[in-house]
Amino acid sequence: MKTQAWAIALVLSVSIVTATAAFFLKRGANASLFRFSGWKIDPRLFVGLGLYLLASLLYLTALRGGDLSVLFPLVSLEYVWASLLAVWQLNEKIGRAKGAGLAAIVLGVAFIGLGAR
Amino acid sequence: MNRRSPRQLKDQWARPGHAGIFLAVLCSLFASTAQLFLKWGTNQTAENDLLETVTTLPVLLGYCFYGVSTLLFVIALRRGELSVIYPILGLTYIWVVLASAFVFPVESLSPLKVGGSLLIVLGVSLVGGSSRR
Repeated sequence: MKTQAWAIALVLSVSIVTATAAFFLKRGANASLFRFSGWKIDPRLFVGLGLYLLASLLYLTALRGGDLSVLFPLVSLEYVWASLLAVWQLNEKIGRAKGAGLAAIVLGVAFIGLGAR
Repeated sequence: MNRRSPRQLKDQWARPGHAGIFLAVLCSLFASTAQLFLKWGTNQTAENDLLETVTTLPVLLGYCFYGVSTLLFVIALRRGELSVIYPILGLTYIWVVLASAFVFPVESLSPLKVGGSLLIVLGVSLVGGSSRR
């Protein structure tokens, strides 16, 4: 089967949802307390988990529309979205090595996308 | 002089490195097997019934393998540095791309696919492996 455009679009949205999920987990974890003396679970942890669940259902749907060897590698774009979110919302810094890594992922994803034709 | 006592040498040998690397490779194998199961499951259910897809045996097995790989990841992290473990997990992309071509007759290898997945492995290694900052 040739990989369908809708499946590729869906997997790209999966990568955005999982990156957002990781962001919510980070926010939730920062605001939560895990101690014997007292538990405080931030609701954003559940938002993160829910987003992961949503992502896995979207991914299963996408897998119907194409090759695993095309669709699975595309999920790696989540690293790019997560890094952008971390810089934008959490004031994290991206060093030279990480920047090069993100560029390599984008280039690799482009190769795979071209290879899917 | 930088001589080390036998005790220090022994400690160096006993460093977790090897166990961590072994666990990370195992983790990547489980993660890629999970992907193959998921794809197999979605191939079996052609109709657009998501509930049916989620409850087929291969998909459930896929999620089980995914769970085991997550467990292995956590154990591997206890045995080694993130900067060593993470790049090894990138192998998952290689296994999936290679195995898909063998397991699913409709899929094929191409220079673009292999080159692309190698670039992704490099990228993931740099993002996850370059210190914790």
